[in-house]
Amino acid sequence: VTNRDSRDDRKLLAAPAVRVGLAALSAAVLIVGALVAPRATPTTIPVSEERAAPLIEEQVREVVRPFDGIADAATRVQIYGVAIERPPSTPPAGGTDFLAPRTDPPLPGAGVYVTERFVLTSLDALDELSNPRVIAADGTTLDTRAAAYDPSTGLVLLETASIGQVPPVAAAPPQVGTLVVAAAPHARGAGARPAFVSAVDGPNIAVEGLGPVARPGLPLFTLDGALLAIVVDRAGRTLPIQPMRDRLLARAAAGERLASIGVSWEPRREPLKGVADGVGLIVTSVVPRGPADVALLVAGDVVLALGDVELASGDDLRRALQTVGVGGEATVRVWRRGRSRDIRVTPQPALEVALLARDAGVAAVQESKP
Amino acid sequence: VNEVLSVGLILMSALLAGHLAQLVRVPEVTGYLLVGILIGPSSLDLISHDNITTLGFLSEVALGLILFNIGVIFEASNFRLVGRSVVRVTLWEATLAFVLVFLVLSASGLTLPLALLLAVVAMETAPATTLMVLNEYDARGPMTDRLLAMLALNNLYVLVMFGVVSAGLVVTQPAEDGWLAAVYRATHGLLWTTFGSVALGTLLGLLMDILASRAKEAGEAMILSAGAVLIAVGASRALGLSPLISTLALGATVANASRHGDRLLRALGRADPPLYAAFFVLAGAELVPASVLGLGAIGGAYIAARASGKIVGARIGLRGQDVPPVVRRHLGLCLVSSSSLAVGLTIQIRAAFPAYATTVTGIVLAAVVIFEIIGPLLTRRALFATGEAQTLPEPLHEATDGDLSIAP
Repeated sequence: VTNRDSRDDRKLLAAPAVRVGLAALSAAVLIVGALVAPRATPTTIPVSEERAAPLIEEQVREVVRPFDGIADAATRVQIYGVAIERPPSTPPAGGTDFLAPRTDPPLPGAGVYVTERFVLTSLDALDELSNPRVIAADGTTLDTRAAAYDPSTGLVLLETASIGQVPPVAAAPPQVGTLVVAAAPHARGAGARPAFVSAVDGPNIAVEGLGPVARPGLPLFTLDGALLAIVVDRAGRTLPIQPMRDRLLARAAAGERLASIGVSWEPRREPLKGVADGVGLIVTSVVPRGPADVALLVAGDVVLALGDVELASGDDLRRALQTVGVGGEATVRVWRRGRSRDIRVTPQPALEVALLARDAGVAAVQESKP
Repeated sequence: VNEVLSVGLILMSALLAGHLAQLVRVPEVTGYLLVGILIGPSSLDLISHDNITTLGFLSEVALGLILFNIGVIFEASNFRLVGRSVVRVTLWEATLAFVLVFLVLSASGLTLPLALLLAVVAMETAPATTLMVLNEYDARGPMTDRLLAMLALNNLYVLVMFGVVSAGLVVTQPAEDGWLAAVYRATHGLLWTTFGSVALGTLLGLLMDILASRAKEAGEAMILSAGAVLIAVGASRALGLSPLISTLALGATVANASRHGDRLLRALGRADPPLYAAFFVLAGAELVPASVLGLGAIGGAYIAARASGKIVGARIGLRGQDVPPVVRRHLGLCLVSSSSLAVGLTIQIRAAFPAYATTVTGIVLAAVVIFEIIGPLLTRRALFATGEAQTLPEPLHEATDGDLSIAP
C-alpha cells in the first residue's frame, strides 16, 4: 500500500512495524497456548470382557498377590453390573455455545441386577434423570423406569429389560473379615478390586480396600460370586443387599409411589394464637423448584394441615401425602406472619424431589422417611 | 419440516411478526421472539428440535456478525472519549448484579457454589437484543454511545468472571487426576479463552486489512467481511476459543488498523436483516415459556435481584459523570435483557458441574424467557424517555408513557 492518505496515519495501528509486531505476538499467543493445552480428561469407555479380563487380573495381582481366585471371581461377576448413561448436554440454545456439545461418559459400576428385570442403584448414582438408560456389561443400552425409592437409604430400584442372568444373593449377613470383590464394568483399569468387610455397625457395613472405585451404586460380591452389598453414597456408606432388595421389591410390587412436597421441618415450640398445641410443623428449608417452592412456601412457614389432616408429627405429614398421592392436588394450611392461609400444592414423586434437593445441595427431605 | 423449509418459514413469520410489532408499538425483536415461541417446539412445533439443532450455526454466525459490528466501538479515537466512563458503569452494573444475586440466593439457602455460578450468569446483558432495538429506532445520543461499548465490555467481563469462578470451584472439587492438574486445566482454560481469542481476532483482522486493499467492489468487500467473520467463529470453535471475544477483537482490529474499516463494516449491512430475523426467531423457538411456571420463590428472587442490581448499578456508575439526569435514570433499563450468553454459560455449567445442572438450568432458562421479553420493551422505553430514538412512528407523547402496559 503506497498512497496512504492522511486519515490512515491517525489510526492506532497504522505503522507497519506495529502491525507486524502485533501479528507476531498474536501468532505466538495462539501457538504457545495450543502447545501447553492440558490433555483432555480421560474418558471411560466400555471394554469387552475379553479385553477387560487381562486388565483386571493385572490389577488384582498388583494389589493382593496372596489371595487366589479373586481375578476369577471378578471376571465372573462383571456381567451383573451396569453403568448408568448420563444425559447428553443439550445442543447450544441461542447458538452461542463456545464449546462443542459433549456427552459425559457413563458412570461405571453404578448399579447391579438383583432380579431378572430390576436393577438396584442409588440416588447418588443418578445424574439428573429418574429414568436413566443403563449400559449392561456387554455394552447393550437399556431403557429404565424408576420402580421404587427408599428415602432413608437413597436406594433406587430401576425396572428394565432382562439380560438373562441374575446373581445369587448372599443369604448370610456380612461378617467382619469376609473377602469381597467389587465389580465395576466399563471402568478400564479399575475393573475389579479385592477388599474385605472391616466393620459391621447395625445396618451399615464398612469395607476397606475399595479405593477410587467406591462409587455410589457399586455392587460388592463374595468370592463365590454371590451379591453381598452395595455402596450407597459418595462417602462410601455400604449396605447389605438382601434386606434392602426385599424392601424395595415389595414396594415396587405394591406399585407404591412415595409422594413429597420438598420441605424439611422441625416441630413447633412457640405457641400460636388460635392453633391447638402440638399442631404445626415449622418449615426449615424448601427444595428449590420442588412442589413447595413452586407453590411459594418459604422457610419459616408453619404448616398446620395438609388436606383434611392436621399435622402434629412427621407421621401425619407422610400419611397425608400418601392419601393425596403423586400429582394430586392438596391444600396446605400455612401460618405465616400472624395469620393462616391456604396454599395449593401438587406433591411430586419423592425420587424426583430428592434429585432436586441433592442437585441444589440443600438438606435431605425428612418428610418422606418411611 | 426439512431445514430449508424451516428457514423459509422462519423468515416469513419474522416478516409478519415485525409488522405486527410495529402496529402495537413494541420493538421488532419482541415480535420475532414471540413468533419464535409460537412456531417453536414448545407450541406449534412447526420448527422442531432437530431443525433448531441443524440451524444452530446460523445463530452462531449472526452473533459473530453482531459482535464484529460492536467491536468497531473500540476504535481508539472514539473509545478515548467514552472509555473511562463506560468501564466504570459496566463494572458497577455487572458487579452489583453479581453481588445482589449472590447474597439473595445464599440467603435463600442455596449452597455457595450454586449461588456463585448463578450470580455470574446474572451479570450478562444480551448484546444482540439490545443492538437490534437501538438499530430499529436509529438511536443516537450519549446513552447509545455508551451502551454499545458497555455491551462489549459486559460480555468480556462476564466471560472472565465465569472463568475465575469455575476455576475456583474446580479446585474445591475432587478431581480424578489430581488437584494440580485440575488447577492447571482451569487456569489454562481462562487464559486461553481470553488471550487466545483476542489473538485470533487480531491476526484475522490484520490479514483482512491486507486483503481489503484488493477488494475494491462492494460485493468483494462483502465476501471478505463475511469470510473473515465466519473463519473467526469457526476457528474459535475448532480451537476451543470464544467466538464472542474473537469476533469482537476482529472488529476492533479492523477499525483500528484499516482505512477500509468503514467500508468493510458497512459491506455486510445488506446481508444482515434476514440473518438477524432468523437469529431472533430461533432464539424465541428455544425459549420454554412453561419453565416460568416452575420458577418458584428462589427463581423469583434471582430475577428481582438481577434486575435491581443492573438498574441501580448503572445509576451509581453514572454518578458524577457528565450526562443528562434522564440518561442516568434510564441507562440501567437497557441492560436488563439477557439471552444467548446466559444460555451458553448454562451449557458450560452443565458440562463442568453436573451436580448443579438441574437447578441452574431451571432458573436461568425461565429467567431468560422473562428477561428476553421484558428487556427490549424496557430498552424501547428508555430510548423514548431520553429522546434518543430518532424514528418516531407516532407522536412523542404516546410513545413515552404507558408502553409497558402491553408487556405480558
